[in-house]
Amino acid sequence: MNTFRPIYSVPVKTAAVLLSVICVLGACFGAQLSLYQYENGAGGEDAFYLSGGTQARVNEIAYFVARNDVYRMLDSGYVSYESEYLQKEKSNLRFQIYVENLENTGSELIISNYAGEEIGYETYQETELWIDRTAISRKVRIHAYLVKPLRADDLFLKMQTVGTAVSQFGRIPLYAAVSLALLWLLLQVYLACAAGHKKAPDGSDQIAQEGLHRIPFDVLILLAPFLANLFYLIWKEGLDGGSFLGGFASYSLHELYLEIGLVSCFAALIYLTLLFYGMTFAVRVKKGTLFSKMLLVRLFGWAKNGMRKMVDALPFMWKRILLYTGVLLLMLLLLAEFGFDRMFIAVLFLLLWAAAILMQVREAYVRKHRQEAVGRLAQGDLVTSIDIQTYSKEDRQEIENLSRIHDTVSKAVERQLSSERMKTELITNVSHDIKTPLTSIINYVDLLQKEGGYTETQKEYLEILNKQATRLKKLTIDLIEASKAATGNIAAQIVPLSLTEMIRQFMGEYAERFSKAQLELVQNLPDEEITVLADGRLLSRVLDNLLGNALKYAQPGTRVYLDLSFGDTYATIGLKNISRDPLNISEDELMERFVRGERSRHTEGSGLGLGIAKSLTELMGGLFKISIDTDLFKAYVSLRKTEPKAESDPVEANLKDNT
Amino acid sequence: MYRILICDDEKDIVSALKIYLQSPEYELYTAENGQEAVTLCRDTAMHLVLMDIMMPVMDGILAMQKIREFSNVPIILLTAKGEDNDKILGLGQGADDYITKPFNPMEVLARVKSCLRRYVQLGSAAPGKTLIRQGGIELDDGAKEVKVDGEIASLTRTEYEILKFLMQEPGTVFSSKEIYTRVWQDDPYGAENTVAVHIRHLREKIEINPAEPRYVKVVWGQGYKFEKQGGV
Repeated sequence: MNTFRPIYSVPVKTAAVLLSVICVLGACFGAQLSLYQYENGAGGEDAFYLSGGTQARVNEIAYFVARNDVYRMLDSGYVSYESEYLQKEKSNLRFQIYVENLENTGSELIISNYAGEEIGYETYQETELWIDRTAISRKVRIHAYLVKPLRADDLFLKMQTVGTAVSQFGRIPLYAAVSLALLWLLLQVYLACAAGHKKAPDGSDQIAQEGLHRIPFDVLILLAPFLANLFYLIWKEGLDGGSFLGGFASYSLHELYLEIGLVSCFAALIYLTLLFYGMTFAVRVKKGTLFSKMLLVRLFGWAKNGMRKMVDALPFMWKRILLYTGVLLLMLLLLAEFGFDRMFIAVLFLLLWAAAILMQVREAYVRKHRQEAVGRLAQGDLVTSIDIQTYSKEDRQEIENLSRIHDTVSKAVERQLSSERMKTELITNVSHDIKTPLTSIINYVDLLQKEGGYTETQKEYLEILNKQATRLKKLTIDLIEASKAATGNIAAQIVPLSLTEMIRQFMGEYAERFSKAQLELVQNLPDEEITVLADGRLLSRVLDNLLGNALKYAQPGTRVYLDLSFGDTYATIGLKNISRDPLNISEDELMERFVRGERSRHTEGSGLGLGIAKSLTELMGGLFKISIDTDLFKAYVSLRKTEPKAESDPVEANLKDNT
Repeated sequence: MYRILICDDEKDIVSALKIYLQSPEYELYTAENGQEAVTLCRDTAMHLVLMDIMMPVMDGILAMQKIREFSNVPIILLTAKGEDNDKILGLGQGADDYITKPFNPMEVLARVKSCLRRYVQLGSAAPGKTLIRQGGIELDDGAKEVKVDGEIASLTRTEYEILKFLMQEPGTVFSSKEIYTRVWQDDPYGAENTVAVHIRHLREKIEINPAEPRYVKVVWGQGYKFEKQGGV
């Protein structure tokens, strides 16, 4: 994974975008200024007259005059020189306007304010005007001139002043525009590179496609014409259809700057839009999602998927499709044959309805059967006990597959069980084989001890032999029990039994042994009798192990608590005692076989007690838990109470519901 | 003089048992497998047979069945199979008692004695209205006396009452509460623990191995019962 480069961080990118916008504004501004210079010939009289701006303005006014003044004149029959363009002292324009006579034989000069002055620009226009009174169109020829030099203080003089002022900038606007454009280009390259890069939480670099970039690209493409239209509207309505471009019609510097500024802003707006498109394109290309995330592609994918599903399901559906199509065709045919006879149609519908009901009934019947079959399978019945011939081919296949799954699983379970059984058997057999020599050892040690005349050391040694042999005996017995309990090789006979009675019995059995060990056994029983589902023999082994542990490991002079508590479904026996040795061991470790507190093996016992207790409890469907709080040892045996909430087998319940 | 047959394929165990049972009262015979045991029993009338189950040639169960064809001599099974199933099987096949290996020599001696007494003294006193007999236990309500295999056991009054109550209906399970109510003639009010303690003492007095009682049994979570004894 590449590490994230700070140059791609959000502030830098934002700064680059801002700078780009400034570049666009500046370049546009400069370009327009130089365009203005170019159009206006960078100042000087000749340039002014030759400039497109000037000429366009002249043409425009000439046309305007022809339209208004000449028209009015023709209409009313006299010429008024009230129009400012026709007043010599107010305008630098001169006009000679000819109107064709009614006979179409020639034309007569009807307006003239030109007295042969020197002219810098002249133009000639011809137009046709409709006159109401005559309802005849008449050709009008206009000669317009711009005097040189400009005398009157009119718009042309203002334009010339602006042009002169702008020309003083020389080539600066051009150079500025070009260099800003170059800088802009560089920034675009940077932005294209930076697009999408994001710092991942682990500091590495990643391409993120977030926010607007998640809009499918084809949607953006569809959006483009609308945006273009919007820009066109702004251009046309807001910027007067481009008449602002270059500010050629400006009569003052302020106006010029305002106009080309507006155009620049417009350009910046377009640029930002294009920038978004460009960057999102770059992000998508980098992410590789340009096409895959397109709405069209996705729609196509969904459509393809849906089609495939339909095709897949066809073998199951074709019959029904055929059937329904057939019925539909039949109905159409009958309708065509007999017309819309009401009675007939009603009977037909009744018949079809009956047929549909019959089909549904059959369907339900098959489904019920199949469900029963599956239920039986779940309970371990094989498919041979199911009359699979009554089912359709698909249903039969399904049931056969289920039974195959059942076979495989039961085989695996059997294998597992037999391996467990073999293990248990091995342990049991080995233990039995150990028992016989052990019997001899114990007996002969005992016999030896009965012989007299030993030294103290010899007696001590014999005592050790005796003790260890006895321990070995207990170990062997526990080992068999543990292995059986862990593999569930003991059949639990679960019957309702009273936990209260059980604890009383244990209190009776153990009270004296506890007082001999200088422990006080305290019982805490609820007033009512608590009945649980358990195997008395196994549960007595569990309690035996727990109380035996307490006897062996509790700190003399402390109390051992035997509590009985209960909830809705479970009753729990709790045993608490304070350990004699520090319990520097975790609950799990303590529960492991062959482990005892303080990791020591110096006391009697096999270390299997808790493991056996847990296995046996679980065998009875109970829960066994121990907890250690420094030296406080707690064990809990939870057993299911009788009369639990009705929780029948879900499969059975299902079957019952459906019959 | 009682003739006792010890049958085990482990010679060391046979020797050890012989040492323990060494007594002027007993005449000891030994066999190494079931076949030998059956032959010996045919030839000599035995008073008691101690028999291992797992043996070569003929196992203990089969040998026992063969012996039962011609004799009702008491048979104590010695078994390394401490499983309940084996015990039940053994007793069902006609064994009188069983001892699990590795065994406690004292227990073997006690069981041998008990078996012999029962066998020999069988029918010594006819059960009457005041006499209840179950297995080796004789309770004489007239004399307020309990004999275990012919020997008087010194029970306290409460222990005696409990035993009597249980023995009157052998095989029936009574809860602590019921026992208390019947024996103390009072409501327990949480004193049921006393029953358990007394029963424990009672077992120590009448059972050979109180941890594996033959007569007064704990039915966990339900109560106590006097185990119904077989035909003996």
